[in-house]
Amino acid sequence: MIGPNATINTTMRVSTTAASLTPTMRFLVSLLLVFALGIASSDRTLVGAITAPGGSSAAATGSPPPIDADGDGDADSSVDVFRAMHAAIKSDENPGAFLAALDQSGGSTPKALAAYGMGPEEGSYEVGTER
Amino acid sequence: MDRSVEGLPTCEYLWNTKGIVPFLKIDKGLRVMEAIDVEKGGIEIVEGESSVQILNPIPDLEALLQRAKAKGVYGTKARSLILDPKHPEQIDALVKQQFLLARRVLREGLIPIIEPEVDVTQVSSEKQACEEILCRALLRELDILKEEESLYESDDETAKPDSKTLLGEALHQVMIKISLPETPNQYQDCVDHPCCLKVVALSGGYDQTEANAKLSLNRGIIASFSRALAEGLSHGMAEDEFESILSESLAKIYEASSSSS
Repeated sequence: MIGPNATINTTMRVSTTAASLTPTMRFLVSLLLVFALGIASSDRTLVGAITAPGGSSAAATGSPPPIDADGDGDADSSVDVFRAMHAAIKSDENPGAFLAALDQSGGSTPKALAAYGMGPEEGSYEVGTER
Repeated sequence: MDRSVEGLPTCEYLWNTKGIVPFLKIDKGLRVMEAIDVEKGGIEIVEGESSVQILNPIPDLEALLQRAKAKGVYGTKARSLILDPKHPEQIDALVKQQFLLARRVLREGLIPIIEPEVDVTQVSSEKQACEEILCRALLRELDILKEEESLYESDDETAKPDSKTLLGEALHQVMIKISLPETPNQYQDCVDHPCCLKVVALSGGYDQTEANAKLSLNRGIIASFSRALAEGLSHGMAEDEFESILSESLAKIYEASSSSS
């Protein structure tokens, strides 16, 4: 869940079109951009999501599992990952955890970025391109 | 969903690096309810009197869901809109459509977020009427889901969970995303329903302060904010100011979600 201990990665690399932004803004823009799924061909996007608390520090409350979360000696399968996510959603151990509804799509990404003061003028950002 | 972040597939990055459970928005926009819906077993619609906006058809949904599942997506989200309470049967039909979609999502092993947003720009009394109608419709559908769950647990071997559906209990649980209601705890029975995994609330036009205040009055509901979360942020800001505002927003929304638990 996004909580008081959540860390914000300000070093994420983004496309050269966003290179003029500060690192934090790059993060935000890239967060929005990564939520845009195939803008040219689809309106389906990743929704902002519920997060585990405290980044990597709170395994008991649904933080990212290690590669072998169940300790069986094998890399986690998709079933293991789903179970871990499901446990994080159901958990009452971090009652303040919430969803960041930063979903974007071909129609709403430009509007959302405009709210940040980034208009669609040429060069401000690119939507739908691979990095 | 198809991209990578810092060299990792997006969903893998979100979960393994950030501890974020990824959901996929699957709706293809909204449309007004039309007379044609009557032909499909729907309800009579008087032209020009639509109290709701329902989901457009979603082509190739199962293929998308299977792809999402393979990519590590946990759940989905689809939003419809309730405009006024004048035609309760249309609200019922909207909710029924949402649950039909939810079942398709569950069948592919993903958890659906059902989002029947209620327009917050209505007068308070009409918004409240919408929410009462909506809550009753949600509970009816949740009860049907519960009934289906008991049928699922029958001796039919073909109905047993497979690796795709994973968890027997997850197969019949949905998440619900609602507008912050006029009456605190309006949706308490949904929160408590065994087929409802989580109720989350959208900010939907309320500013962060008002949204947090309303949220804290609703037990068991957490935030699912977009505009309220990003409130005050601008790309022209200095980094430290940006981080300060975002951190403060996260803390306040977290606190409001905590106090409602």
